[in-house]
Amino acid sequence: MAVSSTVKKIMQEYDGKLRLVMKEVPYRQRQYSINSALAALAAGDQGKYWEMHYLLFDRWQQFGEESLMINARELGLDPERFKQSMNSKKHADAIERNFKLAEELHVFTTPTFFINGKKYNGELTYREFKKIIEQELSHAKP
Amino acid sequence: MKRNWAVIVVAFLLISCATSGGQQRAIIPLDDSPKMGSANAPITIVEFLDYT
Repeated sequence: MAVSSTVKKIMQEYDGKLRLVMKEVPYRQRQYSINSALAALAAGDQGKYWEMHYLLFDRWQQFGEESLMINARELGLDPERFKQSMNSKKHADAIERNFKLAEELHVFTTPTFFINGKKYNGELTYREFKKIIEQELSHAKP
Repeated sequence: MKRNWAVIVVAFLLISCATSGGQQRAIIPLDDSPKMGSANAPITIVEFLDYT
């Protein structure tokens, strides 16, 4: 979707100046939302987090278990390992920690960005990202 | 005396706002969350996301 491609473009443009950290906070009531988050983290166990991340955004609304397995196969992941990772306590715990953190930080919507700790709720346009980053860079030590 | 304290507090708040751009900065544990880019990058973007 648009946000993901904007972030990707910004990362490329400011290569070396940005670090991007992802915190999955799926909707608790939607199993497919939880499954998509787990799929991204499980792909990360085989070094393909970002590939799965972009695939999930490109194939929005295709979050059924079979669709996720198709994604995994397409990325060359070991399907059995992928399944095991998706069901692992490690990733379920990571998501729980993210929920707790989101609550502490009063994150009520996605996406929410923290840029050098400053909070921005909702989607940011390319122009908005650029403005914020330029401001942050001007404050950064040389 | 009270007035002096009030002046000090207001000055502190003004300085704090000016240095932080008027907004608090959260300290976010990065743990082993998925990351991209250099650990030494001057800017860290943390995104809370949902795919649906």
